Amino acid sequence: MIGSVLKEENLTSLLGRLYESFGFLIFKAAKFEEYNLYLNHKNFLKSDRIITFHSLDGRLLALRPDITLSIVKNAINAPNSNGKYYYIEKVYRPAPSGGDYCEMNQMGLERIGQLSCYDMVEVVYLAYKTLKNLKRPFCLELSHMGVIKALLGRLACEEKTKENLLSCILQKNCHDLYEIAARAKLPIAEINRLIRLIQLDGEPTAALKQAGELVCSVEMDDALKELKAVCKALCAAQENIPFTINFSIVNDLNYYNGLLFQGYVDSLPRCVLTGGRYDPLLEQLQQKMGAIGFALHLDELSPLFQEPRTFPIDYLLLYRKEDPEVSILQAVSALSKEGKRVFAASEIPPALHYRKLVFLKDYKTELL
Amino acid sequence: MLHIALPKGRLGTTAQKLLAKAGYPLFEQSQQSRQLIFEHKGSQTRTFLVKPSDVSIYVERGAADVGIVGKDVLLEENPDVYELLDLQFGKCRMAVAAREDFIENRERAIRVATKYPHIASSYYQSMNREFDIIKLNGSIELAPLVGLSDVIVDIVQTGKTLRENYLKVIADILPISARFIVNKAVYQFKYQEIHQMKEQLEQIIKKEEPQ
Repeated sequence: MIGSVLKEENLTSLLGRLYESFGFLIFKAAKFEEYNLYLNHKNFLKSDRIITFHSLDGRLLALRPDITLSIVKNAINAPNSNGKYYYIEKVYRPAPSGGDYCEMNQMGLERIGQLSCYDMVEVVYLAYKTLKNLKRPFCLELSHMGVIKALLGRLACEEKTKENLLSCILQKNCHDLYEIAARAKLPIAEINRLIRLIQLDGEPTAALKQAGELVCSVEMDDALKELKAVCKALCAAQENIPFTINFSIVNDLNYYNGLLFQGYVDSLPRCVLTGGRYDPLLEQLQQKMGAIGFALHLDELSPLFQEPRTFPIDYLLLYRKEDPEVSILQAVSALSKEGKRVFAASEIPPALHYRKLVFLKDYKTELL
Repeated sequence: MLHIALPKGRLGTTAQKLLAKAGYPLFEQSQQSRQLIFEHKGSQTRTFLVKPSDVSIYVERGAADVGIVGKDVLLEENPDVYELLDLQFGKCRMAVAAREDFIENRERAIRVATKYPHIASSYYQSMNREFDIIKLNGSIELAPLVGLSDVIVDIVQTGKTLRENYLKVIADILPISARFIVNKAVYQFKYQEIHQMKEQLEQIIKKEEPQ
């Protein structure tokens, strides 16, 4: 039945109204950006493979692989804006499943400026409301980049080793993490601390308490305090927000420094929402500001948008060649009023799949 | 119900035995048939037998909740999954092998025949060596014998096939074994079932570890 499933346009319009009610304004990005913008911040992007071309005046342009960089650039150049943006845009990246480039639909928001703890809570709360509007069981996972960063910062090893450790953290892969640490002769006490941290997941109160027992530096303590403050506010909202703690959520060390979060929906295999705080990007652009945001990956939601129908056509209306066109048109209009899909033909099309056959008899429809 | 992807063949047979010891008997009927899906009501599992290189795809895309797969496949495919356990069986190594009389010519790119282009590329990039990958799908050992490549990158278990073809290992890349993987979304929604399976597998591995 039409209307019984989630419609992408309904969802984006609903979310747009939600974000606007919290003071976020829509941001319309240009399709192309100067390639330099992406070249200078390659690690911020999911992939460094970008579609480029020359403009008519010879500048090297790129088909946008990311929205956040465009919004940040705009926010920096528009100091009088309120620093709250949301968007519904397409990005162009290599397909995650391999193959060629593809167009991906994203909706999300960015908060850029002098950020308070409330700003973080608000963005995470909106991420929760976004997932809730998908009308399916969901889960929001929270982490803090500062916690992992503080622990990795204590390890004296090459950048490549840190990258390999991060990749193990992402996979909750403790066995290989031990191997890498042993090869790099890293202190076992520090590695055990890291492993205990990534094995903590689930219920926030218990996970945060156990994480507190692992604190070994001021930086880690500060990061954990920030995460606790956000969790406390989410619990206090009394909306039974289904969130968990998962310290295996990590992102690029040079661009992310604070809260990280991601959302999953039951029956969808991949993460549908990703977000986090990325102040270091602003620092690299010589700005003393903070930034946090998230993106809802609309393409990952496509199974929710598909109608579970077996027939593309509800009624095949069969008319005779001598029937007046106006009668056929009236019959089609009457049948389609109930939201049904009607196909009118004088002969049954051989490849058409339809649910019911209807005849036009004496200018009236007759169900077979 | 947990959906499990297992590789067909020797690795899959060992995986089935391990799961059975951990309290997950997977099959209620003979496996002689060509059936690919097996449901076991007692252990609340549905098992798919798939090509070894496809296990991680089934898990990453959520068709299976968990899977058992060789580390070689994970390194080659780089799927976005959790790798929770090293199951300590199916042990072998990824290695570079060449003809017994091979002398490397460093003045040109080395020609590498392999089923694992990603692993081979990463290895030669890490060595800062110019290389030319020749992707093959089987009988890799033949390539250096007929002059198609200088070396091969492949998994080596006992080295018998290499010896029979007058080849020798010239460099080890990394050790390989079977791994227990989980879909990241399913991990959220079937947390208890997955943790129970992981812990039971872990206990069996520890019990069977040589003292």
